[in-house]
Amino acid sequence: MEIRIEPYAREHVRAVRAFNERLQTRAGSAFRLGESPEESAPLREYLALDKAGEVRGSFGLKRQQFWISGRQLEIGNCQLPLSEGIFDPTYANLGMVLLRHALTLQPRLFCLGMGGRDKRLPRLLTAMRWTLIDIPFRFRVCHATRFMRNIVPLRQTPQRRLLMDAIAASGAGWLALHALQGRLPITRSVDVEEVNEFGEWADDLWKRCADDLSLSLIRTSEVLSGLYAGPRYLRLKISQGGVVVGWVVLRDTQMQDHRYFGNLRVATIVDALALPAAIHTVVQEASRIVEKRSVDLIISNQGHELWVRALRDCGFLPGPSNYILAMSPALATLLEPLATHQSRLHINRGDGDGPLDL
Amino acid sequence: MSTQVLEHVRTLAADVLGVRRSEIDVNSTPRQLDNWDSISHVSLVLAIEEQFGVAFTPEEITDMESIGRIAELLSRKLNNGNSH
Repeated sequence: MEIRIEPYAREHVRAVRAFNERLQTRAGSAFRLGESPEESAPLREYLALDKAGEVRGSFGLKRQQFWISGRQLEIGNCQLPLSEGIFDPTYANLGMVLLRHALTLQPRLFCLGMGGRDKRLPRLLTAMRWTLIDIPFRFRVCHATRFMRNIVPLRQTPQRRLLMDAIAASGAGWLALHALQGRLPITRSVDVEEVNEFGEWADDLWKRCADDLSLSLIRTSEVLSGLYAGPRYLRLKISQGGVVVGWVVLRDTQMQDHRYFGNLRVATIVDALALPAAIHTVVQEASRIVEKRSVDLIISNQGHELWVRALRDCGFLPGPSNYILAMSPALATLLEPLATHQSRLHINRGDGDGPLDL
Repeated sequence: MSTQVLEHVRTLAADVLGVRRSEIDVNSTPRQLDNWDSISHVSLVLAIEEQFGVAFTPEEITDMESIGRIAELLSRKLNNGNSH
């Protein structure tokens, strides 16, 4: 089988449209490539083309500067590897071909998200000896009744829906959640400011925080301004005694028939950075701000144990995580021994392809 | 293609794909064997690489359309001394 892998260019648009069509009709896949090479910038997409110029697979590669165990290195985020092998056994080898090719472009690769370890891509990466780590998921319910009536994973069968509706109507759900979550702690002498951009203060904070992290995107003002510009994000700067101690980026989204959140209004702690001693304060204040905005639920995935602990202490409950960090062997080697470094992986929803459906 | 190499590949493939060795021959392809999907293909390639101390390029993996073709690629690598 003759397959060549090339960067996506304008000449491939017709073949990409045909590929998207086959993915949808033959695999029922919701995934699709952009209909122009520029659509996904700064992600660079690569196509697997057969002899006739038809697209049989693809992957995206975003090169980023990361902080890893005390030094700055370029690594690659491999996104959305797609192969016709998912519906045509002729291309069963293409998934491995795509990933091996991606590794020739940048051996230090990671994939993020992926929807759960039972999905095809995490299974493929496991088979290729990548290291997979679940990034913890935590949630805090703000409106128990609406939560009970909308949270899809707890309402999968008619019996469960009846039960959840009954609990919601009785008030028992509110009582139970209130008991489990408690009130948000109060911190005195903290200033929270909504900002439109990240300035030098963010660069200073990054320099002060970096050494406590084993793996992190370089979170300077330039990078953050590129990731979190625009009205969809709520950017908070947190100071104590006139000193910036942290920042947090949130999304506040009214969901519509979301596969997990139904019609809940969900706030996501997308990204954050803080001095270790201020992490609790940052989580508290971010939660307080969005609770005042009448969201139904606050969620976050955080890899760093101090952030997970802060979420726990602020009444965030643990939930099943389908948000997985997968690292290529060359990347995982830089974090050996993993048992030492795993607790300080600063990975959250802002990483990878970002909070796409949040 | 060496007969010995082909027999080794058949044995490895049977083990990885969870089928009897008699169900695999030189013409076996993923279309014919239900268990031969992208994930088992990875396992098969890695098993061959580890057992024989070779590393296949993406282009070579693209060419692995059948058991026979895998055995040919492996024979070529071994004959060229492409072990690591």
